[in-house]
Amino acid sequence: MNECRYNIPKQYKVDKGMPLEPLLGKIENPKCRRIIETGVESVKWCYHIVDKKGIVNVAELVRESGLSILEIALRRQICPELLTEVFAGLFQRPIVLAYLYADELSLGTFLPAGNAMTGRMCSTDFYPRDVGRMIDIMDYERDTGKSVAQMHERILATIRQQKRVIMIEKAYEQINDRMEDEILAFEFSLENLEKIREDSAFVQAQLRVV
Amino acid sequence: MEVSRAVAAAILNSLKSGVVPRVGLEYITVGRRNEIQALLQDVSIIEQGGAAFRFIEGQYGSGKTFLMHALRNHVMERNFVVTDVELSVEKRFVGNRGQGLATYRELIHNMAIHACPDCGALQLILDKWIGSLENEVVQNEGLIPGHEAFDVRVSQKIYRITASMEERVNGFDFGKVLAAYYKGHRSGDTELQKKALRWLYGEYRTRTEAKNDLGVNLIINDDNWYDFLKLFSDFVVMAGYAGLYVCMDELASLYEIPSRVGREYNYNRMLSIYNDALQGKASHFGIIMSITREAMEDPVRGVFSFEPLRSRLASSSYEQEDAVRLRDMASPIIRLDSLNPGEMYVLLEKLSAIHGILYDYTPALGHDDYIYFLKQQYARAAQPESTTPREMIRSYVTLLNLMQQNQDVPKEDILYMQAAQGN
Repeated sequence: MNECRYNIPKQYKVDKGMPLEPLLGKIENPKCRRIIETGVESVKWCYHIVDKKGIVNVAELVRESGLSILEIALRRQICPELLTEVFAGLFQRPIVLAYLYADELSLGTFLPAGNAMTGRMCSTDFYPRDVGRMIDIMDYERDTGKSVAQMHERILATIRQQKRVIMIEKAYEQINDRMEDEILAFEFSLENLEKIREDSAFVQAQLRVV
Repeated sequence: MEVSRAVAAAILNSLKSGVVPRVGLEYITVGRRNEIQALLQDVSIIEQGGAAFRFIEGQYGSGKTFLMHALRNHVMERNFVVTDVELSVEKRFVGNRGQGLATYRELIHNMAIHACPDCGALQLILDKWIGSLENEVVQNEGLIPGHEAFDVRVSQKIYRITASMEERVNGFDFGKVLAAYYKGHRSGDTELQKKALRWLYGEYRTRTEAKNDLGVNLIINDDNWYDFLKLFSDFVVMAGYAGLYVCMDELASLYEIPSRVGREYNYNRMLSIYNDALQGKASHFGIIMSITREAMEDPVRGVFSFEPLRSRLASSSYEQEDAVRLRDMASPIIRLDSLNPGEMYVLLEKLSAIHGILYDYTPALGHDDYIYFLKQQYARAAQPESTTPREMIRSYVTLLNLMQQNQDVPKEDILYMQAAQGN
């Protein structure tokens, strides 16, 4: 059984595509099912983190309860909170979801509590997949010797933190966009352009030697 | 706009290739009012016997070379001798493979005057100098060429001038070479004139050779070339010009010198030039140098890594960063910001008009098209303030060419297609 990066014994590579039809068929709300059917291209179960060590094959692995990490490729951007709600409802188990659309990424997670759908969930907005903003789902330094539940708590906290950062960035960008629009409106105003033309004519006259 | 088709072609061809045109710059100068005012103020000071030294600092493509060339053309019209050099690996202030002398040679070869605006004006300057002295003798003393006293009187004037230069550093030999040039002129000895010119161009390799050919004990070399530039500034005034104006481009090449010692030698020479100009040791002499911000302010390799220059050139606390958006235009460094969108708009208008003159048509672009084009250009750059006029102008000239060559295609098709492709 292949262990994946960071060499954490508890983390196993699954790399298994999931058939969409039976999965999405479980969505009860027809509108919601339509949104997911048209927007989701594929769902791939990438990793499974379990407390038990020394698992020898995938069949044994998938029977173990643990934290599943899924990659969901999208055809278009869908609200990450809706996606997390839907997939949490479908799987009803601890999951980390990475939504991929074009060059953007969003992360979500569901941490169930009790038997019902009353757990905690969190997801970030979409953000560009640049190295500076990548977060590692697995952190060898911090996760060594921790139980899967503790690791999931840490992942939830990291995603919350990322969500906050991205919210602030997006809000700030909106302010900048508004300011930029105001600046451009002034720059291209007839009064401003006329002043620049006059200045230019003045400089042209200065540079000319008669 | 009164631009000839030849000038229009020169402007657009240069801009399309991403280089600064040599002519017609005044027609496309937009913004930079304060900067140009400050530089013209320097020119007035130089005309009155002073000296000036300025750095023009800005990112690649922000218009440093443009400003230098605009000023070069202007002062040439104001009866200055101008010269320019683009510093590089082979041309620096000082180097162990004669790079300083190479800079000097380039400067002397690139000397230009109104009557000879491109380069190679030295011989013309010397001939005009001799001619004007001969004219003086004809007009003031009534002697005509061929009269036995005519040569004597002209010689006296020549030697009075060359003797007056002897007081200056290396002036004795410089004066002697000028006198040798005149001697060759008077006697019809073109070989002697060529030798004198060779010496002035810094092409003599050994003192022995110079001694044998011209009777001087000195040659121009890596250590003394700047003294000769100052001598030239004095001489050109005596020859009837307003002064000598030197433009040095691509100072950033000093920043790229790999060894610290090599950089410091160069910065040290720059310090001497700076001190000379601003302490009043030079007269009728202006120097303008272009440099990128990084090459100027980098504390490890830039000019500011050399403390004597940093302490002279660094901004005062009043104008540091953007605390206040005011610039002291009397400071030795003129910092060029990117042209703002309004200024770019007016530049596009001017380019359209020039394109129309060149191809004899009326470009169909209007207010909304200019704005659309500029917004696309700014949106493409990761940081709008880093978008340089050079890049935008190249794209715009391409757009104009396409529209003029395909007048049957709707302008929107070309404008939107080009914006989408980013060309």
